[in-house]
Amino acid sequence: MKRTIVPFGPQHPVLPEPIHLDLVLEDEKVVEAIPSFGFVHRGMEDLASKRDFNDYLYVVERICGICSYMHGMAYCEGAERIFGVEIPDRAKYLRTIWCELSRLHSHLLWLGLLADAFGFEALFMQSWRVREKILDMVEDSTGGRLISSVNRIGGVARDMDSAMLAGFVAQFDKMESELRALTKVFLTDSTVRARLFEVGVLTKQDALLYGAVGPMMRASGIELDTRKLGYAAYGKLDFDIITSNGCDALARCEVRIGEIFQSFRLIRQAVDKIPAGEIYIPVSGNPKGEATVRVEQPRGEALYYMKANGTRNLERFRVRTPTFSNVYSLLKILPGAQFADVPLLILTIDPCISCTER
Amino acid sequence: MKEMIEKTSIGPAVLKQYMKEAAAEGCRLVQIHANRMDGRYELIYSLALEYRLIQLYMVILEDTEIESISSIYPAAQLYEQEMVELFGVKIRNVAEDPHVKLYHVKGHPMK
Repeated sequence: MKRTIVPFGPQHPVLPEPIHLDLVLEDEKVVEAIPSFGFVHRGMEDLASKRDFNDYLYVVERICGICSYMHGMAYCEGAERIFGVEIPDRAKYLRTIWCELSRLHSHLLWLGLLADAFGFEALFMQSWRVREKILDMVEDSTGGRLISSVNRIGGVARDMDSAMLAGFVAQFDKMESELRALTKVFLTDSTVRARLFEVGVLTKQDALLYGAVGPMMRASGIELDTRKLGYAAYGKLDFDIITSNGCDALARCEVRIGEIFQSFRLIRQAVDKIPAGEIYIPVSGNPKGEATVRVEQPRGEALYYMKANGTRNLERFRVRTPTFSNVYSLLKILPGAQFADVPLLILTIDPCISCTER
Repeated sequence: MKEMIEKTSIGPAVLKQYMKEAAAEGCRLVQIHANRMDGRYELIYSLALEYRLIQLYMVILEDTEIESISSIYPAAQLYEQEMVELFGVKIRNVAEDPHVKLYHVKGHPMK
């Protein structure tokens, strides 16, 4: 059969960030996808060796807007490991609460984008309406809606008083009730299922082989979540790892929705258990040594490698973002898919090109 | 759970065999990256078995050509391609898709 190559991106309505795929088609079926990135690569890893390690925190937070908080936190965790300092317990709980607020707004963002991609405008708007309440909480507690800049090497820069925390939790019941109604539509509505069920199947074996991480991996039946390593205050909190054996786009939706409810559960526990006390301990000097940190971002496991040589600059900073790891799985689920499903399948990995183009 | 990180040094001659055994054991590839050293590269291969992280350190001379592990871990292709484009690391059989270009850069900016 005659093959046609259709260029997809780097500018495309489904994704405001630049990624280019050459889609090789036979009729309407994709037989191969050839990627090209690097349109907005910023050389941030290289910049680490030229900036003071304290100043560089502000750069790390700008690797990506949606994952900004977790990039900053992981960087601080790495630096704290090199310095060999243990931050105060209250700071660990505050970090955990902000992490979960980040996960909530990221997953709700994704649900809205997914609904928009399959043409369900009302579902898109309802998802983002709930997300706005989370962003309001982030703004109230940090002063910023996306880039919060509350992490410091040695703890956090802002506290949340008990009234604020109680106020957040008081809103959760209503939000959960609204989200349960949306969940019913996402997972059972026939028009949604027609677009997601058995589309973009990634088997458990392939997920392992192709390096899938996060919800993409858990939707293929692999029960792994880096939060179980116990960084920040996760070691003192209970949560379930949400998995699905569906392996398709619907399973990825199901896992992310399940994780939203687990985030509410984690924040409630953290608010109950957060101890009083300091939120920061001063850390001085220049770091020397090496640290590897893994954290569970909304899009999956991220790995940070930091090497310091006793000067004010890091010798090497490396971040492997979840999208970089999930791209290969995307390239493997596209062959065999219908051309019309390509935007949807790209979205199901929850791509963050800013992270990838660090 | 405290994170366990195992650090091991490895030579280019045994890299592929090590990876074959790791894959047979069920390790997944987390990432690969290069560090620049004087006239050498330090390559770090990160593998994970459930929550255990295994970091393999391999130091090679600048002109040493190493073997790709993408036949064992297909996802290694992107990491290897990144090391080739940004650092100029020489890797044999780096990509199953030789036309894949990750970064639109001239030369090797991190070499």
